[in-house]
Amino acid sequence: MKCLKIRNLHASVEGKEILKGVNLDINEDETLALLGPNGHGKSTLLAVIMGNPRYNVTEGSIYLDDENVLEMSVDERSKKGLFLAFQNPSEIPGVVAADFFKGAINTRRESKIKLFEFYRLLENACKEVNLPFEMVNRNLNDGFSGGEKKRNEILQMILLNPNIAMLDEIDSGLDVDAINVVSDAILKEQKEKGTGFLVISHYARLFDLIHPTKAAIMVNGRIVLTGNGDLIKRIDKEGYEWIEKETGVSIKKEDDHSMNRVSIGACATKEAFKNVK
Amino acid sequence: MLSSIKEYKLDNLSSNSISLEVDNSVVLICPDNSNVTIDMKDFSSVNNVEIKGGQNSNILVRFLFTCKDIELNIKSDVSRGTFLHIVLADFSNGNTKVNSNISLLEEKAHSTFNLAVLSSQEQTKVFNISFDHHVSKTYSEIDAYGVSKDNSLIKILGTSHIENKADKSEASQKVKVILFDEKSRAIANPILKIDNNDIKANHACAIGSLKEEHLYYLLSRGIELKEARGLITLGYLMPISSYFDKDDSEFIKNLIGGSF
Repeated sequence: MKCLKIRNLHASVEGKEILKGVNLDINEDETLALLGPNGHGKSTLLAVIMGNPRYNVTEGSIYLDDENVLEMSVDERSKKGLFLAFQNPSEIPGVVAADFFKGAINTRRESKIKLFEFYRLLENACKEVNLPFEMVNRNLNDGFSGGEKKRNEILQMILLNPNIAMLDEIDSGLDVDAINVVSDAILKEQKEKGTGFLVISHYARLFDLIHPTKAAIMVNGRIVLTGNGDLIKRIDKEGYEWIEKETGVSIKKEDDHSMNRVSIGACATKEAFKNVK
Repeated sequence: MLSSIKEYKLDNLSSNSISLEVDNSVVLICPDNSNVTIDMKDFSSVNNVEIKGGQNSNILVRFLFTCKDIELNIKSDVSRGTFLHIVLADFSNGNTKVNSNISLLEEKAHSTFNLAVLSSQEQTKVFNISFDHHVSKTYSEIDAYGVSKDNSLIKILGTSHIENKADKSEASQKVKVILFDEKSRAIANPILKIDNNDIKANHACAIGSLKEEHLYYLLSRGIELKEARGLITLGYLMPISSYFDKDDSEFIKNLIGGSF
């Protein structure tokens, strides 16, 4: 059983530190709910685990069992059993989804998958996430609706059989039926393959459906609380303010993005220069 | 000097495959109301191709470059109601120089130039594509995609000239080139020369490296960097294959795949 161990992880983007000493363990067979206010580093943590080149790890470690994840390239991390379902999957014009899926499956096999086996696998996975089979002949995520993109991420998870799957707001933009489809797929992976999950969501509805075994709250780039399903229920009911009172951690407000101040009638150049001081 | 000029009179055939020889000049004559597809492959050295289209015709000319060092001059006068569609896929392993000059001489003359070019191994590939709109209600379009790698150069110069008498005409140019490494280069210059106010015209040009987020997405599924680059390039250049028949399309796919 594989275990992802994160210790004292610090990471920055464009010189700004986002993760400030994250400690977390995720095992196969476990489902960890990662919660926290917007802009406190949850998606950054997942991106850093997967190896997004935008982020710079300045301190700490990530190990998958006894293997140093930070020394692996992005494709190696995937082949070692890590999977990230993106919050905003890239649209890649010209790359046919089916060709891409086949290529990704073949990277995990000694001999190439046979065409019949591939189509049977793909057909079953499409049924499971309720995507029309014809969509696999389209360009990857190109022209897909928000919900189709999310289900396409889950479809890839099913095809690639990861040990630990990280789902970044997989429920955002999904209607009720689609959330049920996605949660059913997650439950099936948990039950049949023993996949471990690290799931970010702002809504208790998804967590009600997939039954997390653990929960962790991320504030100011650190894990400040861990617990079980009761923690999720409390966050859903009371929000995050009580954490300040009970832990003494002051929750920083989400940074104003300089472009947020620019609206019709405002001068973007003047606003930009306000930051250059 | 040209050693010979060959004339081909084309009937309403669905496909005419013509192989050009060394120092060759060919004139393709399409009668009125014809519907023809002309395939040209296996070029050598300098080639001159003139297309004389009749009225109300539909002419598709497909060029597939796979051999070394090609120089090609294309010339055509497009008549009333005729659509001349030129498709050029350049996957040759040498330098290329193409000059194409299409004149839209009569009303409702329409011509499109689709180009896909892969340049590698320090090659230089230059395309000079021009359309002249002489009369009203004429239409032209350039749609060019290129990938430049291994210290090579792609140069695409497009000129759409809408003359004073060519009111209600339309011209469009789109050029996109991906640079694979720091030493590879691309020059794209989509020029519009407009002498009439009652027209529609647009031009767009983009040169840049592969999108990092696209690469990251593919890598995150276990695809290796080299293969990820190949997949994106295939996706970028493969749309040209839709204009070719099945065998050539597969051939193009293999050529691109073999380059990475």
